[in-house]
Amino acid sequence: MIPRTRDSRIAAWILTAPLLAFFALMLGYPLLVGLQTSVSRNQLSEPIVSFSGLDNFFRILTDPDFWGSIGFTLQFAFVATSLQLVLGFLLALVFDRKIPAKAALFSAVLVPIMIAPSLMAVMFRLILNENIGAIPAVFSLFGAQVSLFDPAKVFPLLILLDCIQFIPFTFLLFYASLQNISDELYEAASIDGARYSSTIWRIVLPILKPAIVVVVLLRILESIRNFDVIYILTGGGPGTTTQTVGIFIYKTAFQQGDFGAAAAASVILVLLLAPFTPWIIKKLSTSEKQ
Amino acid sequence: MRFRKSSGGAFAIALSAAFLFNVPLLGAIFNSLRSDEAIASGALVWEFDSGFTHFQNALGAAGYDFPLFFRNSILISLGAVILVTVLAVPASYAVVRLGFGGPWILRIAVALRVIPAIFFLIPFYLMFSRFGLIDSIWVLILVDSFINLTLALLIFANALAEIPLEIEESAAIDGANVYQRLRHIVLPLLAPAMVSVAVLTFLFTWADYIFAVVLTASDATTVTVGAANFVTSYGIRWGDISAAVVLSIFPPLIFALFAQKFLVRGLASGAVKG
Amino acid sequence: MQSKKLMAVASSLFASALVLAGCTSTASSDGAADTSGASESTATEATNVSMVLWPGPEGEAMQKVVDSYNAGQGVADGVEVEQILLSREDTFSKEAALMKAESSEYDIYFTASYLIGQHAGYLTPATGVDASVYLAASVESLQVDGMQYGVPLDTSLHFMYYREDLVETLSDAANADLYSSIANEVLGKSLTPNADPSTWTWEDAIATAAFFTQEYNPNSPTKYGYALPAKNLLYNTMIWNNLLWGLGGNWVDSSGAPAISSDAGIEAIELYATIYDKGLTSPDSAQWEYGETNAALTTGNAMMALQWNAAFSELSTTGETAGKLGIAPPPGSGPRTHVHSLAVALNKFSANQEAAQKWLAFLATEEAMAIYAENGGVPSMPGILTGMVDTNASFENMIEYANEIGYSEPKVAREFDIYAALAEELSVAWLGQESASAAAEAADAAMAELLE
Repeated sequence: MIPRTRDSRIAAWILTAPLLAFFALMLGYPLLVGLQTSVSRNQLSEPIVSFSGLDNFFRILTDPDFWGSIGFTLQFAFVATSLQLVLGFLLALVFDRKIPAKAALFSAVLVPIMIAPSLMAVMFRLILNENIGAIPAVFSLFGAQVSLFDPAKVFPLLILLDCIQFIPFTFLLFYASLQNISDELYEAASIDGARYSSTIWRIVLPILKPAIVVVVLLRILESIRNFDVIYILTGGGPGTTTQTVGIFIYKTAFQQGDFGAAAAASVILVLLLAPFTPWIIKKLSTSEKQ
Repeated sequence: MRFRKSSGGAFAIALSAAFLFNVPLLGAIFNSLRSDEAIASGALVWEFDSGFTHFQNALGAAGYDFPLFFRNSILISLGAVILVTVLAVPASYAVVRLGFGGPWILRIAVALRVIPAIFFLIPFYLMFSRFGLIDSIWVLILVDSFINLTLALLIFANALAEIPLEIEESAAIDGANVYQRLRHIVLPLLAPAMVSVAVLTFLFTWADYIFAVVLTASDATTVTVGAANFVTSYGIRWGDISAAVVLSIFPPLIFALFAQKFLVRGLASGAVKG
Repeated sequence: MQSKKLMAVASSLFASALVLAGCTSTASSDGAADTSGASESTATEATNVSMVLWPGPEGEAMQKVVDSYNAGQGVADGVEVEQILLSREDTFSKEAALMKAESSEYDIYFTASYLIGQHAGYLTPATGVDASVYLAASVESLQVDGMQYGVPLDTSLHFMYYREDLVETLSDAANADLYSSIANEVLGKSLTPNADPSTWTWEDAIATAAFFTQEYNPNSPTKYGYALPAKNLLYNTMIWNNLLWGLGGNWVDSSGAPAISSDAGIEAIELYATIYDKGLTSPDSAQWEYGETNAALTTGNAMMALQWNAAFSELSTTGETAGKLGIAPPPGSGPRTHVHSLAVALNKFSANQEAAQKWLAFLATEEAMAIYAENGGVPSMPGILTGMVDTNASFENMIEYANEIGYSEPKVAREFDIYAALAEELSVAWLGQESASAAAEAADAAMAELLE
């Protein structure tokens, strides 16, 4: 461990000062305003804003649609993240070899992240359209009639689209981590007679554990905030069957014009996830101490 | 190096993956080249629009100042990359190596990501309008940096964890102080992580919609917001929006290609391969 | 060393960024005033009035009106107008944020009949609007408590679009038997073909749609008869309302209590459910709205749809509907087409009330709206619309339907929210996947909360 001298403590402050100042500016005021809004009766249809205590919280906590959206979001986040984790990792392994035109293929795989989710969603809306979309047209060439927006198939479809959009992201993170593993490690393993799969399982994965934790964390949190694609494709419907928490909060704010309740819902969401964050941070820090 | 040699199977998988992920883009290219009549008649109608009208519209012919939108998006994305790097690298070093603040910085960073964007929209609007920064690229640089800080901090913290302490310890023993260790030893080793963070920050900033919509009006409009103009009361201008999507790929693509090269150079300078 | 260079570059960029920040914020506020593109010489005297509008045909047409005003009457009024186009999808969300913040950034907001109840608290009524030059339904739909808040722009209502060439064949005697047996299968009663859509009941419409659905009639040239926009979207509620009203129903009964659970409401839901459940429309239509409905018609995969009047320009000129497009009123009796107007209104917190009122007064004249119409807008003035029938044949229908069978939903404060709530509560039942009465009850409960 590096000795903590007085110099290093001062240095630590200096190095962190810009970030802290930035946080104070960008986080402090919004947090205050947001909290204040959550305890106010703040609706678009009423110009006067007044204190309302815990009314908004009560309203949200007793709203079955809120809990329904949380349930759907968790389901969605869990399935999507698992797939993106595994497939992203496998794809990173594939790219970790010498392959022709690697730079070009690499950039090609990253393309979905370069398209804004809102625009990506519009593109999906077009190419998946039964009448004017390319995908159903291609299927029809093979004689198959596909109905992609059938309420029964909407969930798998949304998962697939999320994967197309975000596997490139998990892939990139894993790939970067894999670069740090030196060739000697692989050589040593192969000299010892280990097969590829056990090398990956026993040696590479443990080294990658911190990266995996980061990826899981980021993807789950991002899935929880997922908005653009689902909103544009289904509006959370039919009914509220594909409504994520993000869509619920957006609709509360901008369709029901209830900013107070929307702020309260955001606070509740943070409180629900708060218990898990120390655990996640711990995972991150213990893997550091190796 | 048995396990990292080239393989035909790997190439096939990589190629298929590249194709699958590009289906939306290929669809966009296809539709941007067809006339409106063809698009409305079905996907198998291969009638192409030789005047490239959709591209002309996406470059300003339809009355929307796309050259300005592109300029704005590029500046905002680059700005966010710079700001995020400048803020996150020193801070994550201080947190991970110098034990600053214990787990609190990371806890706050994680908590940030949990809060839905909506929570920040109106307070940001109120705050920035007071400083007259609404509809300027600076406010978006600040906001997008804020959004991507968590990612940067986590990636840097993770990367720092993977760098062996011994290198720095021996340098410390040799008399190097914190700043020297950070600059000469850690930074080169952090190169791949910095590239990842730069690329991801650029991409996520480029793709932001909701903050751009609320915090800009006409001067600082970004490409993603500008493209949404093609959804009108009289119909969605599929061809125009497809062309906008196609064009919007280029700046991030160029940035990623450029960054990738930098990554290779960073690796080759002896940073990682022991 | 690379890292040194990087640090140097980064810090100098950042420093210059901070410096520029100071300059650009002042520069942009000066620059903004010049983008209206007209008289610069009067910059010192003229009051600048900023107005938000939708991008697309409305914004493009309005720009011409703005240009003409700034060069003409605006000089006399001492007013210079600047139009700001916000993203169409989020104009209203953005305005919501601005109104909540009591912003004075824009003097004139873009609004609509379905939002006027919500916005009224943040607006100043427009003086100088002569209601007689407008379609009654349009101008009234922008009044709240008797005050004229909005100045009407484009009016929207619904038509029953259908393929003329196909409906014509219904009068062919050879089809009568098949039609009758299909009607029996789908509706439980034998019907005779009715080739005049303007006299259709919903049963006629559904039977016709079934007749042109390949599942029931393999010889049908269209795969499905109907294109149903059933997505959970508030604009789709506006379309569904036509069934409710056309069956004699309303959102509320005479005492003001929610009435979706009335016989008319339940029947209206069940009609949609029949269309979807019996396969008269594509299963994908569970996620359809305006654009997808048009695509179904232009590709020839559907032959009938209750759809917005604005679709006429696309449908009448594209694909399978070009030259074969018929227009009929929504089936039913009595008032049965939803009418709403887009509008502009004066921001209560604007610092330029007088100047803005002058501009709005100009906008409310036939002279201004004639320019709007010439450039692609569809003003709500019968005087102008009648003169434009050559360019757009549907204007005749528009005037007729707006005057004779148009209705507006109750102008309560949370009207906008009610559309959204109804879409949410009813969209599953529209697909026949929930019982109509259960959905109607839930809808009434949701509405009751919004009416308080």
